[in-house]
Amino acid sequence: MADFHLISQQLKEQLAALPKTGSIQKAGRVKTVNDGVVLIEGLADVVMGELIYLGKDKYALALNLEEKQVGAILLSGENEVAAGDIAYATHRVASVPVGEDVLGRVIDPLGNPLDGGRNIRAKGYRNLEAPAPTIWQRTKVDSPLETGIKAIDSIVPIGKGQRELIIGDRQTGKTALAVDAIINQKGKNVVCVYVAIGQKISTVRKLIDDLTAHDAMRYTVVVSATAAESAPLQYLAPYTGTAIAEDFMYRGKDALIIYDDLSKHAVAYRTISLLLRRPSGREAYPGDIFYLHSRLLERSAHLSPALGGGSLTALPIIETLSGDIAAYVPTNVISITDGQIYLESELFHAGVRPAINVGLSVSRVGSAAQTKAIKRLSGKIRLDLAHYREMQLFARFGADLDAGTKAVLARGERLTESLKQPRYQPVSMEDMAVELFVMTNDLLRSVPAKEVPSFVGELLTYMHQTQDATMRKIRKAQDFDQEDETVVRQAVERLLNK
Amino acid sequence: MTNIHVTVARPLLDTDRVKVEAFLAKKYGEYTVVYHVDDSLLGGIVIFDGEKVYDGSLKSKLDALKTNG
Repeated sequence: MADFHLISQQLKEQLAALPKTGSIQKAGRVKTVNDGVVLIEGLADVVMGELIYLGKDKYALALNLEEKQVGAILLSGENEVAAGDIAYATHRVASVPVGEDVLGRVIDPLGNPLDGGRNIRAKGYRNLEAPAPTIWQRTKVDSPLETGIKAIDSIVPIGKGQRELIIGDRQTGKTALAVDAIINQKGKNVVCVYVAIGQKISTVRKLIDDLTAHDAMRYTVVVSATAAESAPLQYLAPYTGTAIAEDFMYRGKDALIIYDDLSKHAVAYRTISLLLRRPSGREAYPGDIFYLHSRLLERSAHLSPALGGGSLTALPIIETLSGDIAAYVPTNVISITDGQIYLESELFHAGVRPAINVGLSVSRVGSAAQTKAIKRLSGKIRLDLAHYREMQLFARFGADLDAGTKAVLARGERLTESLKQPRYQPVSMEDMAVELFVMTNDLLRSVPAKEVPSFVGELLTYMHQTQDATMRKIRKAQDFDQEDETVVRQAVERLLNK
Repeated sequence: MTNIHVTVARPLLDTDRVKVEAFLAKKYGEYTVVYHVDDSLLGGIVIFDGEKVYDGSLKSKLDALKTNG
């Protein structure tokens, strides 16, 4: 009861002070509104990217700064802004809440929850736009980001701090690769950020369900700006994701970010630029379409030990039309990233999944991002597959081929079967090492290609059941020595003779 | 020449209007003024001169109390 009197006394004091309070805010007046673009008279002191408040939870982003007017793009409330409305400067640029509390959540590009939960309890706020780490702030990319996908970790390995593009036509398994990479980070102390740009709401829903089912949401944040959201929100989404992931990186942690996809992101930015009447160029994209993506992707890095040694690895996704990787936006992003993973429709429909075209895919970081075991064991695999591809032209001649060619073809078929992998089944490093050893040393010459996956499955089960010590040794040492080779050879012998 | 918008909760009495116009003349010299009535202000006065909003409405003072108090 005493508290009650104290409160009422404080209230009376505050009310008595009211006549002297009041605020002065910089503001302008809305001249015109159309297509989500607000032209505001005044607001001379506003900065680029500043948030403009239009009353009742409506915000716009100032993107065209002129002497007597400001062109801003509405982030919300498209039908609620009228000419004559007052537009207030907020003196802050777009920023988002960051910190551990975002993990497990689904948020919009401004940090508002989309999963029906409470607001994010921010440890701090980061601007969506931020400079990339400088040359001195970085260090070499030298540790693997294990995706758990055999074809990737052995042939186009990804390191922490690298940007590896996933590119392909629609329905070739691009998102599936990204999701499997996230699932494989379980227990590896890597924070994952998935940015959904311009996607169908049902697709995003399914993706969240998949991640939840595989216990991956615990360490993942989903930033979503679906096709139903305004172009400005779709434009901001990747920067929001990056700000959130960067926060972990600068605190010494490892983070993985997936931009799904940057093609839709480019389209959203084109929409905004055209509405702002900025000059358009090739394919009607604005002149700074390259910068749109380069400044985003350059923020992924491996920081030097002085800054905590954290990292941000990026897996941007680009969708091509009819396999045209020479189109405008794809070539832009290819030149920015440190390698690309090509997914092809023909391979996908022929049953090769993941549908990675090993010949055209590359990782510019390469073996520096592999454990000793995988590095040693995967050396030959590219060459073997390259020989196979060369010989495939002759495959239709069947019985007319010489023994050497037939052997190369059979071996290539076995390798291809071995690299196939179902969704949601990332492979551990030690399992991958064993399989790589078996395949590159062609120990399964007597097994028909189609039966290779099931044989390998049996082998791995056998190894875990009876040779678990070896498996654990491989994982711990991250290496595969003579002793391990002997154990595996013996296991293969035993299973072949059954 | 500044264009000023003055918003009040209830129409100004003539005595008050004279005081407001005197203040505006002193601050802006040459000006034109448009008066608006918006009872959601609850009381007080809001002045917009094209560059700044001087918000002396009762509503915003009470809102400020709510957020800060």
